[in-house]
Amino acid sequence: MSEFQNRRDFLKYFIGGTIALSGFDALANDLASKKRIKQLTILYTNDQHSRIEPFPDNDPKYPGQGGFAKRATLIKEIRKTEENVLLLDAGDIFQGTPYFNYYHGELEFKLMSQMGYDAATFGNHDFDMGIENIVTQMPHASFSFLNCNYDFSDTALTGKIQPYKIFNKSGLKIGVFGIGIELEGLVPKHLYGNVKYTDPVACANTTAHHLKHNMNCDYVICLSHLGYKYDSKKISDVTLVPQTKNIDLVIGGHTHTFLNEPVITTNSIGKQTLITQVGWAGIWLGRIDVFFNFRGEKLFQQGTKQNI
Amino acid sequence: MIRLLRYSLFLVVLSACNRHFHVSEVKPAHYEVKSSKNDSIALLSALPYKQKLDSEMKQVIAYSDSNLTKDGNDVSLGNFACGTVDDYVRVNKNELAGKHIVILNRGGLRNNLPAGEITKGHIFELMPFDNEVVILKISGEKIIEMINSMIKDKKLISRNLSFTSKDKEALDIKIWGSPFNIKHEYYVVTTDYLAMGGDNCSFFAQPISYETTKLKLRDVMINYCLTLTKINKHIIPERNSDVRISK
Repeated sequence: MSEFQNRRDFLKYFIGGTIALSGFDALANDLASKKRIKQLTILYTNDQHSRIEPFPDNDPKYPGQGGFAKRATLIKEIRKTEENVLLLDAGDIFQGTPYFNYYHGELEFKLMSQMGYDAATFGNHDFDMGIENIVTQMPHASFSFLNCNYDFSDTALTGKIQPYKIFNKSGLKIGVFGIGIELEGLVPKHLYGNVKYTDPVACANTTAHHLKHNMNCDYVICLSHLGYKYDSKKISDVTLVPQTKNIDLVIGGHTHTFLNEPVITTNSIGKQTLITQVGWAGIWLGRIDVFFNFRGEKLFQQGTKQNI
Repeated sequence: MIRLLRYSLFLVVLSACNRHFHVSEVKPAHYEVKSSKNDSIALLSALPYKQKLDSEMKQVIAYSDSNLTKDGNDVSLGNFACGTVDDYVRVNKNELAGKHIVILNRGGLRNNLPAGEITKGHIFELMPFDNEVVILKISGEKIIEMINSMIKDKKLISRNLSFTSKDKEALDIKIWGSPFNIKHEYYVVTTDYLAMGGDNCSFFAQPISYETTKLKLRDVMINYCLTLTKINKHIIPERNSDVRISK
């Protein structure tokens, strides 16, 4: 909600008496009809699983689908028309094809860097060749690795992972942070070593609050590898959101869930939060365009409504 | 013109105060990555990696009569995977005959196998993990814990073990067709991943004995395929399950 009661208050506050208000009234009306003042285009993937090449044409399920080089073309085309693009990944970049067995993730990182990925978070499979391998492959990545609920301080990754990053896009401040799944029982202990898992809900709340209220971000994105939803009480994106209040969008992974469109959920203070996930293997490229204005008008989000 | 100038001024004021941006509209759109052209720079970057891999991965090692999947109720892929391990034991560890159960995890099988030619690459995608095959000896009590987990989580797949479940309880448990005896000790042939507690297999902790074959599960599968082909046999999907878990 705007801190200003109406448009006139807003104008008075900034312009004072220096310019006649009557002229600005007309201008403001123009702007009112032009609700979309700034546009942010968020592109995303999750669970790429080293699927460098498309599935073969005789694949029973996904014939000819996916492929890094095809995705690179799509992204280049989108960048031609959109100015403010953020390209993100929600983890499990590694593991799934011989490219990983042979080259340990080098090519995945190189191609993602060429595509201009801005940030990624870790999935459990990114630890499949150990912490040391992540450290070895990191020089091939020009994007950031974000996570706030793994404590890396007693590992070779210490100092190399940021909890969040703020992207400035034409004056918009976009805060992006990452959260990861409990590794115990999912990844052999000798591979994740001394990475300590801490409560993703607590860290999501602290980080999102910091981004929105201390860093004044206009939009806060959570890259999550918790998984979309479980039958059990295990924490998932769907159970995370109602326990948080400053996240606008959760880009999820792990459960390989193909959501035809983002799911609209409600956070702890009754505000809408979107959860999205695009399956796996780069079969889909997700896109969400967020339009910003400065009037605090009613938010219109397109997605599937879901009561949780 | 004046209007335009005022407009610009307005925008300057706005950008100086970005606290006041509000989301007004969110529009999603997913792309199916399928018909786009390949980006030439990406292709070129991947080429040296691809050439080296292809020389190995395109090698046809078997032929399957139909698709093997783990979709829905299809158990053919799981049966194939457990069958390769069982065959390894039959040939190399004959002393375990009649006493061992093969246990793998459904989630560890990462890709379906198509009908027709099966390449080494297919097997790498089915079993990308470098997990090794290990042989555990565990008590009958632990076998019951394992079966309870099979009923509850439905994550594990097996060979040489049969039972039906009713109201979350296993009935008519048989190993190699003989009634299960809780006082006996049994061999479980599985992966080091599960033996180390992966997929919540806590019942494999502190086994009576533990032996590693030092063979990767993937290589066991590849060797099985090569052996079949050598004797001019195809992979014939088995779509029946010895384990019946009611919902």
